[in-house]
Amino acid sequence: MTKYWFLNGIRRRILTEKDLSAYKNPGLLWPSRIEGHGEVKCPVDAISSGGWNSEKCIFCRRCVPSYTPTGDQEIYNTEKSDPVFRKSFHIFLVDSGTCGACNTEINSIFAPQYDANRLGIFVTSTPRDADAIVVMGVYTEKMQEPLKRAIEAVPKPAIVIGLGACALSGGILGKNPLDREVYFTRISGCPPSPYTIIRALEEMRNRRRDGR
Amino acid sequence: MRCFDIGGKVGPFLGESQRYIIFGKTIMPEHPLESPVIRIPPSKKAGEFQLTYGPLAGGMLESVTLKFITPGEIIRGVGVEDKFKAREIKVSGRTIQDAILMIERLNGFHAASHSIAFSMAVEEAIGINVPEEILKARMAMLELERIRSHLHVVASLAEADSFAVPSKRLSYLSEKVTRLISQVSGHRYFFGSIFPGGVFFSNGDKLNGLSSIGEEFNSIYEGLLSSKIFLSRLKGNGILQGEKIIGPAGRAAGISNDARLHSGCLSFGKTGLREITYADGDAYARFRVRSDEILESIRVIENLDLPAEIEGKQREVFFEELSKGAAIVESPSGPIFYYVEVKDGLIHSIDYSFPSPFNISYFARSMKGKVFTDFQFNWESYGIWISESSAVIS
Repeated sequence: MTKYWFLNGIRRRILTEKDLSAYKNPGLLWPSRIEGHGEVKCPVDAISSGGWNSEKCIFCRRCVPSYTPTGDQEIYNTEKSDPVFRKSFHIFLVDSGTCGACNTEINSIFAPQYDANRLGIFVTSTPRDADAIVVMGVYTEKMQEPLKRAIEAVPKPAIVIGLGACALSGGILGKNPLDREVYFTRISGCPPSPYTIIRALEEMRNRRRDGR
Repeated sequence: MRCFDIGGKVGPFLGESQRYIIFGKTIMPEHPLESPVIRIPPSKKAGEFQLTYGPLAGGMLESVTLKFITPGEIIRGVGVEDKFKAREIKVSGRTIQDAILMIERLNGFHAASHSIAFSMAVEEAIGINVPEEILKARMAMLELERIRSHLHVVASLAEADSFAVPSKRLSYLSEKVTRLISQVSGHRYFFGSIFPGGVFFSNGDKLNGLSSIGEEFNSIYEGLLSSKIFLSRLKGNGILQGEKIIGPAGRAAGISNDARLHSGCLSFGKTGLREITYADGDAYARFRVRSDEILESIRVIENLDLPAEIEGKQREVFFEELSKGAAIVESPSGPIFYYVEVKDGLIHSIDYSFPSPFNISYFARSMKGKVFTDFQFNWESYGIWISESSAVIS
């Protein structure tokens, strides 16, 4: 360790993992796609009539052993891909009523392991500079007006992305802050892993599946 | 296990709930005080104006509004409006299994602390004796959470100084710890892995990687301590002194208040845990307390003799009579206390004390007389979580 931080940074070499498939957090089972059969007592009705709804699921493990996690973290839905954002994509984060986990997970995509900046993804401090709004958390009365005004401030076409079970379905704590149809992309998880978030954003931007 | 007796003051002050004043080994059924959060900004004097920042503002992790009273440079007072994202969490009348899912989502970043404190309160209420190996696994989970949370705070302090190399290297370590957490608990935030009577815990030799994280953190820590630019932002910033200060902020002001050692809820004393205290009470002392605690927590985990695997099995708990229990754990931001009453297998009522409202109050007190460039360092040094301070549990 020298007193010159620039040299300390270079000495550690590149810490970013080489391609997106390496982002799969080894050992991470929850949240991931679950498979199984049978009726279970799901606290959020994510499993009903033998079908599994990833957008409602809070991955609480109450359905084990009838249902088991597969480790497949590609749990998102996007209405369509928009190649206009292939080069760069600026997002503005709106916390409507989170537990803090979605906030830290979306910030994790900028950790050196993932380095979403190299993929052209950036966080802005104002919705006026953003291409998309990322909505996290459940409906809360006082955040409705700031959320509405933030969406209005994004230059058209304003894209709205729902991140996490609370934003998509209300999770176990409440109701969703926006109608499901408003979301251009819906990213499941409680909270979604950095891999899921990056994969969803890459798919939405119509970039190559390997993300390079 | 019985954590508390009802009675006089035994042990350091650890918080206040609606019904109780909480000390290390006792709870006193007195008062209740108003919430300690300073929500209304102080009144303006001639030449002063109010600057509002938030609720959606760059640089803030969560939705919160800060109202600064200033004549232009010096901050005369701060009001914190933390209720924008207030969630009402109704656990009364829910089953214990449902309640734990809600409690762990109260503050996702400190989910282990919340769910362990809540589980232990329920266990005391319904008389579950938890095996030693489960208690050890819970202690390891608490320490892993503390390491990650403190890394996050130190990284945020470096980022506030635009100190990109240490900030990114600390984020790298934080992500490594998060991956370790997911390997031992199956989830990056411990969700679904802790419940009354048990845990899901898979150790193997996965936690061996902690020693290299400790070594790397130590080298960054030494580098930060030798940076005059970084230290000048922290020293003398946000000085807080007093008797009833909880959590790392209190330990940074020389107060011995670590609930891990002063309460009887978990046997951290047997691990040889060393309580970290500094005297100055400023942002620098809080940075030192958290950094030293990262290294201490790694040492505690290494000394724990952890079980290889605990395959937890959640059970439906039914207990007809009204029964009561209380527990406290030291979360990374300060003590978390739960008091629960259980009847017919349902949560009958709940009472609690969390550190974030206190930390917001300390922040507001310690900002007076400072300037705007001090704000980010002072705010980050307290490790405040708005999700925790704004939640209303009923």
